[in-house]
Amino acid sequence: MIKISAVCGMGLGSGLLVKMGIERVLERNGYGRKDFRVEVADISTARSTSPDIFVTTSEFAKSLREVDAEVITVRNLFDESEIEEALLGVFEQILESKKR
Amino acid sequence: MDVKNLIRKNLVDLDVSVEDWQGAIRAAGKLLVEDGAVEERFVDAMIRVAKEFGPYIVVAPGIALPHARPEDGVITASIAILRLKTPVDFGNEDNDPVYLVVALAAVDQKQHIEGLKQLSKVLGNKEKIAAIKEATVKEELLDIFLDV
Repeated sequence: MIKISAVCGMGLGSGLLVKMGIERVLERNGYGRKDFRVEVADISTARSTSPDIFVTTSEFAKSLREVDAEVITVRNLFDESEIEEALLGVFEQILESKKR
Repeated sequence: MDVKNLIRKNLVDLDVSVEDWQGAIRAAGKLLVEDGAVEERFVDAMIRVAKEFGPYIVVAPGIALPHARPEDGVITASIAILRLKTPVDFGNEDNDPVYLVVALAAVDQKQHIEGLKQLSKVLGNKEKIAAIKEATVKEELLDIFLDV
């Protein structure tokens, strides 16, 4: 199980968009509930969610610099191919390393 | 809540002239206030949030999604859509300049999820983006968002 945090300012807008995009991308690639869980987190509490992967915009990535997790940034939150390109490789790598 | 319940005809406007990013947020906020979807203080709150967190609200090339908290005066869950006459910079290196402002008034963390999902399908589709840029009347712009 890979835990992913979609981080935004308040957990109402962009974080939700990121979460939807991640779920669509991973489901399309054959991953389901047993493989991953995506939570929306606001920037003030994001660190305490301790996920395997943070997905956010470059603005918030700056304040997630010293976290013990992968930090992935996306530019166009509506563009699933961008999310797929940035996330899928990292996701599969972590999934693989957890199986070992 | 379906996007049809979030976006109404009077919440859509075309070719609005604004001076800068604050003016763009105020113009979208005005639609929400006049509709009765939010109290006036919600508009100031959207600007405060953009200042507090930076221009991250520009969520895609040319598209800003300003919003504030439910407790900042939201009355009815709503989305206002405003296409600017001339694009303005929000200070987002990746995605400036902004030509489309999508102002989100949420009443909680859940009710608008379905609508946002439908909205993201529209704004993630290149043909629909082209249609949004080319729309000549409000009704046309509205239909693009409701046709999901």
